Amino acid sequence: MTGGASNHVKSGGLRSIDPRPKLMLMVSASTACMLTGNIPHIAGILCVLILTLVVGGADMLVVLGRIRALLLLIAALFVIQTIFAGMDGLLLAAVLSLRLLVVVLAAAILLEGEIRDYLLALVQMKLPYELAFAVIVGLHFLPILRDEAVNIYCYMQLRGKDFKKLGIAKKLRAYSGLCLPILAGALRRAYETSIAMDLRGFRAMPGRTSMRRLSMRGTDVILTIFYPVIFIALGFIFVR
Amino acid sequence: MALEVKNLTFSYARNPSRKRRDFSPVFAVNDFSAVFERGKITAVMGPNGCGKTTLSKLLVGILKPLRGGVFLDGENLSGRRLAEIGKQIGLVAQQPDRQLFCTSVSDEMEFGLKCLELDSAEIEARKARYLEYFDLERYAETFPFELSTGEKQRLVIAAVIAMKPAYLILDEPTSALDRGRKAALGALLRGLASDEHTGVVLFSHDESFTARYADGVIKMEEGQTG
Ligand SMILES: Nc1ncnc2c1ncn2[C@@H]1O[C@H](COP(=O)(O)OP(=O)(O)OP(=O)(O)O)[C@@H](O)[C@H]1O
Ligand SMILES: [Mg+2]
Repeated sequence: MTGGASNHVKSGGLRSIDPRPKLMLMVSASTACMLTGNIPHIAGILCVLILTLVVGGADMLVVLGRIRALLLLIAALFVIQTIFAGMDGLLLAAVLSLRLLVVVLAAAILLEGEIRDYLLALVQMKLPYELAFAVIVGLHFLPILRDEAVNIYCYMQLRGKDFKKLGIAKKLRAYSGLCLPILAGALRRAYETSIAMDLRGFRAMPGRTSMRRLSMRGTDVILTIFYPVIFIALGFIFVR
Repeated sequence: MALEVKNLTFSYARNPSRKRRDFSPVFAVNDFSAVFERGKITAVMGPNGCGKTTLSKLLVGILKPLRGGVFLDGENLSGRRLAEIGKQIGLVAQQPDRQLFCTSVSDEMEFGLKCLELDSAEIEARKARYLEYFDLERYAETFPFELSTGEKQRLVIAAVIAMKPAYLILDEPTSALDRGRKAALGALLRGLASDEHTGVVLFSHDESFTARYADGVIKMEEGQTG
């Protein structure tokens, strides 16, 4: 395990790897697939990510469960694009979908680890604590949005709004009516959280220290270099 | 005619949104059975975390039971859409500001009434009546998020009651109400039970309120049989 005081539920594999190689993986994978438009290259990056998850001992069922909704969304985008753009669009749609898949899978790898550790890693990389914290809070904001959406959707239906029975135009109107309360609710919760944190003394200690320090072991260092190198190498192999 | 729950069991552990899988199932509601009759106010009481809110969500189908079922006048609710259930069973949930979604108090009142496809005269009449009863007329054009907690609570109650559901489920409806408003709510609920034959289920730990207005009390223990 990294760090003496960490209390990971499951150790070993991906979970015991330092957060920095994973951050590097995320950054280099998404940069590489944005720079290249070559389908085999992106597919190669995807394979590396899937291999990382499998070799790292991630529970693939859990991973799939987490990203299921996003996978459906990517599939839907693909279909819509091909319908509207015809055969010309097929290639473009495929590239876009594969890129999105890379980002989603890289995020899934990030999730195989404690959020706190990423905060610590960002701080040790000399990012100011507030900024690092904002990044992590941003990650937390997505589930809040989803929560809020499910919640409002339920209560609207209970007041008699039958989304299933509406025609397309009315359905779109009804769904757009969801946006405002969802955003308003999520923003309010974020705002209240920030006030509560300030009141409880967040930022009171500028030179905040941490009991735990993350230390990179040999494998971690190798992995941090390995990922960007392999993604570039794949580019040289496929792009000619 | 009654809203009946039989051997209702529910655990949040099966909820796919839970991140950690190392969570031995704890039953938030365990093998709970009860009958809530029309025309009566039934209070369900119990300590924090005993599963009152969970039960209220099971009663309207927001959560699906692991075992057992909810029967509305003898018919199992499973498989019915929330929009259908909501027209017969009104839910006033515990957190007022999470159930408001319109841009004005007036729209909030009209939302459910329009979904019931009432004519506009009836909509106006009901809206005026309940805004007045809950002392909210002067806020008609206010953005609901700007109301105080007690005002939000009254607005949710008013919006749900205006739909005149056959059953009314209220989760801690008095938590933010002052004494006068509590009495007003109590009197209204009594009136609904006797005049409109509404079945009221009142989740609460406000003992003086339930003692005063409820016809019967069901006690809930932590994850236990009722
Ligand atoms: N979304 C959730 N995910 C996991 N567990 C939950 C969730 N909501 C509630 N629980 C748990 O289920 C149990 C019952 O919660 P519930 O909200 O039904 O209690 P309650 O009786 O309404 O309490 P209170 O009097 O505080 O409102 C609690 O132990 C709680 O920790
Ligand atoms: Mg509750």
